[in-house]
Amino acid sequence: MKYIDEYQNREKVQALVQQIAKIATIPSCFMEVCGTHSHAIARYGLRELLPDNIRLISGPGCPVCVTPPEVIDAAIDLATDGVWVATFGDMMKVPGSQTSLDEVRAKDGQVKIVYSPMQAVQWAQDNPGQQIVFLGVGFETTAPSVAISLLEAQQLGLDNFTILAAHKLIPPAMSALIDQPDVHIDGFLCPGHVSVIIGSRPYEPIAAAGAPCVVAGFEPTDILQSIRELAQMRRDEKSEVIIQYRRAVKPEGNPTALAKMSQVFEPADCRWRGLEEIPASGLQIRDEYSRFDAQKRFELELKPVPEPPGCECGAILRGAKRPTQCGLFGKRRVAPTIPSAPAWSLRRALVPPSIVMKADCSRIIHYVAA
Amino acid sequence: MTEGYPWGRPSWPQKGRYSMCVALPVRLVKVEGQRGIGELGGSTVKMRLDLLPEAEVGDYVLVHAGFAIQQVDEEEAQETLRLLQAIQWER
Repeated sequence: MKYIDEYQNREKVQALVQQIAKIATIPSCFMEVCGTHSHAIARYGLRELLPDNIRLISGPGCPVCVTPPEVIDAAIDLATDGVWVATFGDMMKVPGSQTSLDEVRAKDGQVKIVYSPMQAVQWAQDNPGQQIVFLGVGFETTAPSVAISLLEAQQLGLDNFTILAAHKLIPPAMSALIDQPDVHIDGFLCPGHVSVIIGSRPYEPIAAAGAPCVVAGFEPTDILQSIRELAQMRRDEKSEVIIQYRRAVKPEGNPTALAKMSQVFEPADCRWRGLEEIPASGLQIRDEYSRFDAQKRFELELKPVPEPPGCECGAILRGAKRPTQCGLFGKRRVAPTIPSAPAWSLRRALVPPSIVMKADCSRIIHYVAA
Repeated sequence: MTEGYPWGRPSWPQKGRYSMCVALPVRLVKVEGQRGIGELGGSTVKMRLDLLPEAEVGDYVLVHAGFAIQQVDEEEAQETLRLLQAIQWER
Protein backbone atom coordinates (compact mmCIF):
# COMPACT_ATOMS: atom_id res chain seq x y z
CA MET A 1 0.00 0.00 0.00
CA LYS A 2 1.36 3.40 -0.94
CA TYR A 3 1.76 5.98 1.82
CA ILE A 4 0.78 8.79 -0.45
CA ASP A 5 -2.87 7.85 -0.68
CA GLU A 6 -3.42 6.83 2.91
CA TYR A 7 -4.45 10.17 4.33
CA GLN A 8 -6.98 10.65 1.56
CA ASN A 9 -8.19 7.06 1.36
CA ARG A 10 -11.89 6.90 0.57
CA GLU A 11 -12.65 3.82 2.70
CA LYS A 12 -10.84 5.29 5.68
CA VAL A 13 -12.80 8.51 5.29
CA GLN A 14 -16.06 6.55 5.18
CA ALA A 15 -15.04 4.45 8.16
CA LEU A 16 -14.22 7.56 10.18
CA VAL A 17 -17.52 9.19 9.23
CA GLN A 18 -19.30 6.02 10.44
CA GLN A 19 -17.44 6.12 13.75
CA ILE A 20 -18.24 9.80 14.22
CA ALA A 21 -21.94 9.12 13.56
CA LYS A 22 -21.91 6.47 16.33
CA ILE A 23 -20.09 8.66 18.84
CA ALA A 24 -21.89 11.94 18.16
CA THR A 25 -24.97 11.42 20.33
CA ILE A 26 -25.23 15.05 21.45
CA PRO A 27 -25.70 17.95 18.99
CA SER A 28 -22.40 19.82 18.86
CA CYS A 29 -20.97 22.87 17.20
CA PHE A 30 -17.24 22.72 16.53
CA MET A 31 -15.13 25.55 15.16
CA GLU A 32 -12.23 25.04 12.79
CA VAL A 33 -10.14 28.05 13.69
CA CYS A 34 -7.72 27.89 10.76
CA GLY A 35 -8.45 29.07 7.22
CA THR A 36 -6.45 26.21 5.74
CA HIS A 37 -8.71 23.77 7.60
CA SER A 38 -11.75 25.61 6.18
CA HIS A 39 -10.20 25.20 2.75
CA ALA A 40 -9.56 21.47 3.21
CA ILE A 41 -13.05 20.86 4.65
CA ALA A 42 -14.64 22.55 1.64
CA ARG A 43 -12.25 20.95 -0.84
CA TYR A 44 -13.01 17.42 0.35
CA GLY A 45 -16.68 18.06 1.06
CA LEU A 46 -16.31 16.97 4.69
CA ARG A 47 -19.09 19.21 6.01
CA GLU A 48 -21.64 17.28 3.96
CA LEU A 49 -20.31 13.92 5.12
CA LEU A 50 -20.75 14.63 8.81
CA PRO A 51 -23.90 13.58 10.69
CA ASP A 52 -26.57 16.22 11.34
CA ASN A 53 -25.58 16.30 14.98
CA ILE A 54 -22.27 17.96 14.15
CA ARG A 55 -22.10 21.49 12.84
CA LEU A 56 -18.75 22.90 11.74
CA ILE A 57 -18.25 26.64 11.75
CA SER A 58 -15.27 28.56 10.35
CA GLY A 59 -13.27 30.75 12.68
CA PRO A 60 -11.04 33.81 12.42
CA GLY A 61 -7.82 31.93 11.59
CA CYS A 62 -7.06 33.64 8.33
CA PRO A 63 -4.44 36.39 8.69
CA VAL A 64 -5.57 37.99 5.44
CA CYS A 65 -9.20 38.25 6.57
CA VAL A 66 -8.51 39.66 10.00
CA THR A 67 -6.08 42.42 9.01
CA PRO A 68 -8.05 45.62 9.65
CA PRO A 69 -8.53 48.07 6.74
CA GLU A 70 -6.50 50.84 8.41
CA VAL A 71 -3.34 48.71 8.16
CA ILE A 72 -3.93 48.12 4.45
CA ASP A 73 -4.69 51.84 4.02
CA ALA A 74 -1.39 52.70 5.72
CA ALA A 75 0.53 50.40 3.35
CA ILE A 76 -1.32 51.90 0.37
CA ASP A 77 -0.48 55.45 1.54
CA LEU A 78 3.18 54.49 1.82
CA ALA A 79 3.19 52.93 -1.65
CA THR A 80 1.60 56.04 -3.20
CA ASP A 81 4.16 58.27 -1.41
CA GLY A 82 7.14 56.63 -3.11
CA VAL A 83 7.96 54.03 -0.49
CA TRP A 84 8.38 50.53 -1.85
CA VAL A 85 6.14 47.97 -0.17
CA ALA A 86 6.72 44.22 -0.03
CA THR A 87 4.17 41.74 1.23
CA PHE A 88 2.79 38.23 0.81
CA GLY A 89 0.73 37.60 -2.32
CA ASP A 90 -2.39 36.87 -0.27
CA MET A 91 -2.56 40.52 0.84
CA MET A 92 -2.55 42.08 -2.61
CA LYS A 93 -6.25 41.90 -3.45
CA VAL A 94 -7.65 42.61 -0.01
CA PRO A 95 -9.37 46.00 -0.08
CA GLY A 96 -8.61 48.71 2.46
CA SER A 97 -11.23 51.41 2.87
CA GLN A 98 -10.76 52.67 -0.72
CA THR A 99 -8.55 50.45 -2.82
CA SER A 100 -6.14 47.51 -2.68
CA LEU A 101 -2.37 47.12 -3.01
CA ASP A 102 -2.98 45.30 -6.27
CA GLU A 103 -4.67 48.37 -7.75
CA VAL A 104 -1.91 50.65 -6.44
CA ARG A 105 0.63 48.43 -8.16
CA ALA A 106 -1.38 48.52 -11.38
CA LYS A 107 -1.17 52.35 -11.33
CA ASP A 108 2.39 53.29 -10.39
CA GLY A 109 3.13 52.18 -6.85
CA GLN A 110 6.06 49.86 -6.23
CA VAL A 111 4.53 46.84 -4.55
CA LYS A 112 6.36 43.53 -4.59
CA ILE A 113 5.02 40.09 -3.80
CA VAL A 114 7.43 38.05 -1.74
CA TYR A 115 7.23 34.45 -0.61
CA SER A 116 9.61 35.02 2.29
CA PRO A 117 10.34 38.17 4.35
CA MET A 118 14.02 37.55 3.56
CA GLN A 119 13.30 38.53 -0.04
CA ALA A 120 12.21 41.95 1.23
CA VAL A 121 15.51 42.29 3.11
CA GLN A 122 17.35 41.36 -0.09
CA TRP A 123 15.32 43.97 -1.99
CA ALA A 124 16.36 46.61 0.54
CA GLN A 125 19.99 45.51 0.28
CA ASP A 126 19.90 45.77 -3.52
CA ASN A 127 18.34 49.24 -3.44
CA PRO A 128 20.21 51.39 -0.92
CA GLY A 129 18.67 54.82 -0.52
CA GLN A 130 15.17 53.54 -1.26
CA GLN A 131 12.89 53.06 1.75
CA ILE A 132 11.34 49.61 1.78
CA VAL A 133 8.51 48.52 4.07
CA PHE A 134 7.54 44.91 4.64
CA LEU A 135 3.87 44.54 5.52
CA GLY A 136 4.09 41.66 7.99
CA VAL A 137 0.87 39.77 8.52
CA GLY A 138 0.30 36.29 9.85
CA PHE A 139 -0.06 34.38 13.09
CA GLU A 140 2.54 32.63 15.22
CA THR A 141 3.55 30.50 12.21
CA THR A 142 4.86 33.55 10.37
CA ALA A 143 5.96 35.97 13.10
CA PRO A 144 9.26 34.14 13.93
CA SER A 145 10.34 34.29 10.26
CA VAL A 146 9.60 38.02 10.19
CA ALA A 147 11.58 38.41 13.44
CA ILE A 148 14.57 36.74 11.76
CA SER A 149 14.31 39.10 8.79
CA LEU A 150 14.43 42.09 11.16
CA LEU A 151 17.49 40.67 12.93
CA GLU A 152 19.12 40.05 9.53
CA ALA A 153 18.48 43.68 8.48
CA GLN A 154 20.03 44.80 11.75
CA GLN A 155 23.08 42.60 11.17
CA LEU A 156 23.47 43.99 7.63
CA GLY A 157 23.20 47.53 9.02
CA LEU A 158 20.32 48.43 6.69
CA ASP A 159 18.72 51.82 7.30
CA ASN A 160 16.14 51.50 4.53
CA PHE A 161 14.19 48.46 5.76
CA THR A 162 11.23 48.63 8.14
CA ILE A 163 8.35 46.36 9.07
CA LEU A 164 4.69 47.33 9.35
CA ALA A 165 3.77 44.64 11.87
CA ALA A 166 0.18 43.40 11.87
CA HIS A 167 0.80 39.99 13.41
CA LYS A 168 -1.87 38.34 15.50
CA LEU A 169 -2.01 35.62 18.12
CA ILE A 170 -4.45 32.72 17.99
CA PRO A 171 -5.03 31.65 21.64
CA PRO A 172 -6.28 35.07 22.85
CA ALA A 173 -8.76 35.15 19.95
CA MET A 174 -9.99 31.66 20.82
CA SER A 175 -10.46 32.69 24.45
CA ALA A 176 -12.48 35.70 23.29
CA LEU A 177 -14.69 33.45 21.14
CA ILE A 178 -15.66 31.17 24.03
CA ASP A 179 -17.44 34.03 25.77
CA GLN A 180 -19.70 35.03 22.87
CA PRO A 181 -23.38 35.35 23.78
CA ASP A 182 -24.74 34.34 20.36
CA VAL A 183 -22.40 31.51 19.33
CA HIS A 184 -21.78 28.54 21.55
CA ILE A 185 -18.68 26.56 20.62
CA ASP A 186 -18.43 22.99 21.92
CA GLY A 187 -14.88 22.38 20.76
CA PHE A 188 -12.04 23.69 18.65
CA LEU A 189 -10.04 22.21 15.80
CA CYS A 190 -6.80 24.05 16.54
CA PRO A 191 -4.59 25.27 13.70
CA GLY A 192 -1.82 22.77 12.88
CA HIS A 193 0.94 25.08 11.73
CA VAL A 194 0.41 27.71 14.43
CA SER A 195 0.75 24.83 16.88
CA VAL A 196 4.01 23.71 15.23
CA ILE A 197 5.43 26.93 16.71
CA ILE A 198 3.48 27.40 19.97
CA GLY A 199 2.89 23.74 20.84
CA SER A 200 -0.27 22.51 22.51
CA ARG A 201 0.12 24.02 25.99
CA PRO A 202 -1.33 27.47 25.22
CA TYR A 203 -4.68 25.75 24.56
CA GLU A 204 -4.87 24.29 28.05
CA PRO A 205 -6.64 27.31 29.61
CA ILE A 206 -9.21 27.13 26.78
CA ALA A 207 -9.86 23.44 27.43
CA ALA A 208 -10.06 24.21 31.15
CA ALA A 209 -12.74 26.79 30.35
CA GLY A 210 -14.86 24.00 28.87
CA ALA A 211 -13.99 23.91 25.16
CA PRO A 212 -12.02 20.76 24.21
CA CYS A 213 -9.19 21.35 21.75
CA VAL A 214 -7.70 19.02 19.12
CA VAL A 215 -4.64 20.13 17.15
CA ALA A 216 -5.43 18.84 13.67
CA GLY A 217 -3.50 18.07 10.50
CA PHE A 218 -4.72 19.09 7.07
CA GLU A 219 -5.57 15.88 5.22
CA PRO A 220 -9.18 14.61 5.20
CA THR A 221 -8.49 11.72 7.57
CA ASP A 222 -6.56 14.06 9.89
CA ILE A 223 -9.54 16.37 10.13
CA LEU A 224 -12.05 13.53 10.61
CA GLN A 225 -9.89 11.85 13.27
CA SER A 226 -9.78 15.19 15.07
CA ILE A 227 -13.55 15.64 14.86
CA ARG A 228 -13.95 12.11 16.23
CA GLU A 229 -11.73 13.02 19.20
CA LEU A 230 -13.82 16.14 19.82
CA ALA A 231 -17.09 14.20 19.61
CA GLN A 232 -15.71 11.56 21.96
CA MET A 233 -14.60 14.13 24.54
CA ARG A 234 -18.01 15.77 24.32
CA ARG A 235 -19.80 12.43 24.82
CA ASP A 236 -17.54 11.57 27.78
CA GLU A 237 -17.93 15.11 29.20
CA LYS A 238 -14.19 15.68 29.14
CA SER A 239 -12.37 18.79 28.09
CA GLU A 240 -8.73 18.25 27.22
CA VAL A 241 -6.09 19.18 24.67
CA ILE A 242 -5.21 16.40 22.23
CA ILE A 243 -2.64 16.53 19.44
CA GLN A 244 -3.82 14.62 16.39
CA TYR A 245 -1.16 16.21 14.11
CA ARG A 246 1.60 14.50 16.04
CA ARG A 247 3.96 14.14 13.11
CA ALA A 248 4.56 17.90 13.20
CA VAL A 249 3.37 19.25 16.56
CA LYS A 250 5.10 18.75 19.88
CA PRO A 251 3.61 19.92 23.20
CA GLU A 252 6.40 22.46 23.63
CA GLY A 253 6.31 23.70 20.01
CA ASN A 254 9.48 25.10 18.48
CA PRO A 255 11.42 26.79 21.31
CA THR A 256 13.96 28.46 18.96
CA ALA A 257 11.16 30.11 16.99
CA LEU A 258 9.34 31.21 20.15
CA ALA A 259 12.56 32.74 21.51
CA LYS A 260 13.19 34.72 18.31
CA MET A 261 9.58 35.87 18.23
CA SER A 262 9.66 37.22 21.78
CA GLN A 263 13.11 38.74 21.29
CA VAL A 264 11.72 41.05 18.59
CA PHE A 265 8.01 41.34 19.39
CA GLU A 266 5.88 41.89 22.47
CA PRO A 267 2.13 41.25 22.84
CA ALA A 268 -0.18 44.24 22.39
CA ASP A 269 -3.90 44.89 22.27
CA CYS A 270 -5.03 44.52 18.72
CA ARG A 271 -8.03 45.12 16.46
CA TRP A 272 -9.22 42.27 14.23
CA ARG A 273 -11.16 43.13 11.09
CA GLY A 274 -14.85 43.11 11.86
CA LEU A 275 -14.25 42.30 15.54
CA GLU A 276 -13.64 44.36 18.62
CA GLU A 277 -10.18 44.94 20.02
CA ILE A 278 -8.93 41.76 21.72
CA PRO A 279 -6.51 42.23 24.65
CA ALA A 280 -2.91 41.06 24.05
CA SER A 281 -3.88 39.44 20.75
CA GLY A 282 -1.33 41.15 18.51
CA LEU A 283 2.43 41.65 18.30
CA GLN A 284 4.28 44.94 18.22
CA ILE A 285 8.00 45.52 17.65
CA ARG A 286 9.89 46.03 20.91
CA ASP A 287 11.37 49.47 21.64
CA GLU A 288 14.98 48.36 21.16
CA TYR A 289 14.19 47.56 17.52
CA SER A 290 12.07 50.69 16.92
CA ARG A 291 14.25 51.85 14.03
CA PHE A 292 12.86 48.90 12.08
CA ASP A 293 9.27 49.78 12.98
CA ALA A 294 7.50 51.38 10.00
CA GLN A 295 4.81 52.81 12.28
CA LYS A 296 7.45 54.82 14.15
CA ARG A 297 9.70 55.73 11.19
CA PHE A 298 6.86 57.08 9.06
CA GLU A 299 4.77 58.26 12.05
CA LEU A 300 1.75 56.27 10.91
CA GLU A 301 -1.47 56.69 12.81
CA LEU A 302 -3.70 53.68 12.47
CA LYS A 303 -7.18 55.02 13.10
CA PRO A 304 -9.98 52.44 12.95
CA VAL A 305 -11.94 52.67 9.70
CA PRO A 306 -15.60 51.56 9.65
CA GLU A 307 -16.62 48.74 7.31
CA PRO A 308 -19.08 49.52 4.48
CA PRO A 309 -22.78 49.34 5.48
CA GLY A 310 -24.17 45.83 5.28
CA CYS A 311 -20.76 44.18 5.77
CA GLU A 312 -20.98 41.12 8.00
CA CYS A 313 -17.26 40.30 8.21
CA GLY A 314 -17.32 40.32 11.99
CA ALA A 315 -20.22 37.91 12.35
CA ILE A 316 -18.71 35.64 9.70
CA LEU A 317 -15.29 35.58 11.35
CA ARG A 318 -16.89 34.83 14.74
CA GLY A 319 -18.85 31.94 13.25
CA ALA A 320 -22.21 33.62 13.92
CA LYS A 321 -23.13 33.80 10.21
CA ARG A 322 -22.32 31.97 7.01
CA PRO A 323 -20.69 34.05 4.24
CA THR A 324 -23.81 33.71 2.10
CA GLN A 325 -25.78 35.49 4.84
CA CYS A 326 -23.73 38.65 4.23
CA GLY A 327 -25.90 41.37 2.69
CA LEU A 328 -23.03 42.26 0.33
CA PHE A 329 -22.49 38.74 -0.93
CA GLY A 330 -22.43 38.87 -4.72
CA LYS A 331 -23.64 42.50 -4.74
CA ARG A 332 -20.78 44.93 -4.87
CA ARG A 333 -18.56 45.02 -7.92
CA VAL A 334 -14.85 45.02 -7.44
CA ALA A 335 -12.75 45.97 -10.46
CA PRO A 336 -10.90 42.91 -11.73
CA THR A 337 -7.19 43.64 -11.79
CA ILE A 338 -4.39 41.23 -12.55
CA PRO A 339 -6.13 37.87 -12.51
CA SER A 340 -4.31 34.58 -12.47
CA ALA A 341 -7.01 32.98 -14.62
CA PRO A 342 -9.98 34.28 -16.61
CA ALA A 343 -12.50 32.40 -14.48
CA TRP A 344 -10.97 33.92 -11.40
CA SER A 345 -11.38 37.47 -12.71
CA LEU A 346 -14.95 36.82 -13.75
CA ARG A 347 -15.83 35.61 -10.30
CA ARG A 348 -13.88 38.40 -8.67
CA ALA A 349 -15.90 41.00 -10.50
CA LEU A 350 -19.00 39.96 -8.59
CA VAL A 351 -17.88 39.58 -5.02
CA PRO A 352 -17.88 42.09 -2.18
CA PRO A 353 -14.85 42.91 -0.03
CA SER A 354 -16.04 40.79 2.84
CA ILE A 355 -16.10 37.79 0.57
CA VAL A 356 -12.84 38.53 -1.20
CA MET A 357 -11.21 38.51 2.18
CA LYS A 358 -12.32 35.07 3.21
CA ALA A 359 -12.07 34.01 -0.39
CA ASP A 360 -8.33 34.35 -0.58
CA CYS A 361 -7.86 31.50 1.84
CA SER A 362 -11.00 29.47 1.44
CA ARG A 363 -12.29 30.44 -1.95
CA ILE A 364 -14.39 27.35 -2.45
CA ILE A 365 -16.78 28.12 0.37
CA HIS A 366 -17.34 31.69 -0.56
CA TYR A 367 -17.64 31.40 -4.29
CA VAL A 368 -20.46 28.91 -4.15
CA ALA A 369 -23.04 31.65 -4.62
CA ALA A 370 -20.88 34.11 -6.57
CA MET B 1 10.03 5.91 2.15
CA THR B 2 10.83 6.31 -1.52
CA GLU B 3 7.17 5.87 -2.42
CA GLY B 4 6.17 9.34 -1.41
CA TYR B 5 5.21 11.33 1.60
CA PRO B 6 4.07 9.41 4.66
CA TRP B 7 2.32 12.55 5.91
CA GLY B 8 0.18 13.13 2.89
CA ARG B 9 0.30 14.67 -0.50
CA PRO B 10 1.44 18.27 -0.65
CA SER B 11 -1.63 19.78 -2.23
CA TRP B 12 -1.15 23.54 -1.84
CA PRO B 13 -0.32 26.16 -2.96
CA GLN B 14 -1.79 26.08 -6.41
CA LYS B 15 0.36 27.00 -9.38
CA GLY B 16 0.99 30.68 -9.73
CA ARG B 17 -0.24 31.61 -6.27
CA TYR B 18 1.97 32.60 -3.41
CA SER B 19 0.24 31.42 -0.34
CA MET B 20 1.43 32.29 3.10
CA CYS B 21 -0.84 30.12 5.23
CA VAL B 22 0.67 26.85 4.15
CA ALA B 23 3.63 24.76 5.24
CA LEU B 24 4.88 21.97 3.01
CA PRO B 25 7.03 18.94 3.90
CA VAL B 26 10.33 19.13 2.02
CA ARG B 27 13.31 16.73 2.10
CA LEU B 28 16.50 18.54 3.01
CA VAL B 29 19.31 17.72 0.56
CA LYS B 30 21.96 20.33 1.38
CA VAL B 31 22.87 22.44 4.41
CA GLU B 32 25.23 25.44 4.26
CA GLY B 33 25.24 27.31 7.56
CA GLN B 34 21.82 28.96 7.93
CA ARG B 35 20.76 28.09 4.39
CA GLY B 36 19.31 24.83 3.22
CA ILE B 37 18.22 23.37 -0.07
CA GLY B 38 15.35 20.96 -0.16
CA GLU B 39 13.59 18.81 -2.70
CA LEU B 40 9.83 18.62 -3.17
CA GLY B 41 8.34 16.48 -5.91
CA GLY B 42 11.32 17.07 -8.18
CA SER B 43 11.66 20.82 -7.66
CA THR B 44 14.25 22.61 -5.58
CA VAL B 45 13.21 24.63 -2.55
CA LYS B 46 15.55 27.13 -0.91
CA MET B 47 15.03 27.73 2.78
CA ARG B 48 16.55 29.33 5.86
CA LEU B 49 17.32 27.14 8.84
CA ASP B 50 17.47 29.86 11.55
CA LEU B 51 14.39 28.47 13.29
CA LEU B 52 15.51 24.83 13.08
CA PRO B 53 19.26 24.82 13.74
CA GLU B 54 19.35 21.07 14.42
CA ALA B 55 18.09 20.10 10.93
CA GLU B 56 20.28 17.67 8.99
CA VAL B 57 20.50 16.46 5.42
CA GLY B 58 17.89 13.76 4.83
CA ASP B 59 15.34 15.19 7.29
CA TYR B 60 11.84 16.04 6.14
CA VAL B 61 11.11 19.57 7.28
CA LEU B 62 8.01 21.76 7.10
CA VAL B 63 8.79 24.92 5.12
CA HIS B 64 6.74 28.08 5.66
CA ALA B 65 7.53 31.51 4.13
CA GLY B 66 11.04 30.39 3.20
CA PHE B 67 11.87 29.06 6.66
CA ALA B 68 12.06 25.51 7.93
CA ILE B 69 9.83 25.56 11.02
CA GLN B 70 9.83 21.93 12.21
CA GLN B 71 11.06 18.46 11.45
CA VAL B 72 8.41 15.95 10.45
CA ASP B 73 8.58 13.05 12.85
CA GLU B 74 8.57 9.86 10.80
CA GLU B 75 7.75 7.57 13.72
CA GLU B 76 4.71 9.66 14.59
CA ALA B 77 3.66 9.71 10.94
CA GLN B 78 3.83 5.90 10.86
CA GLU B 79 1.90 5.69 14.12
CA THR B 80 -0.91 7.86 12.75
CA LEU B 81 -1.03 5.64 9.66
CA ARG B 82 -1.11 2.52 11.84
CA LEU B 83 -4.10 3.89 13.77
CA LEU B 84 -5.75 4.64 10.47
CA GLN B 85 -5.13 1.10 9.24
CA ALA B 86 -6.95 -0.28 12.26
CA ILE B 87 -10.19 1.46 11.31
CA GLN B 88 -12.47 -0.56 9.05
CA TRP B 89 -15.50 0.57 7.14
CA GLU B 90 -18.52 -1.55 7.99
CA ARG B 91 -20.53 -2.09 4.85
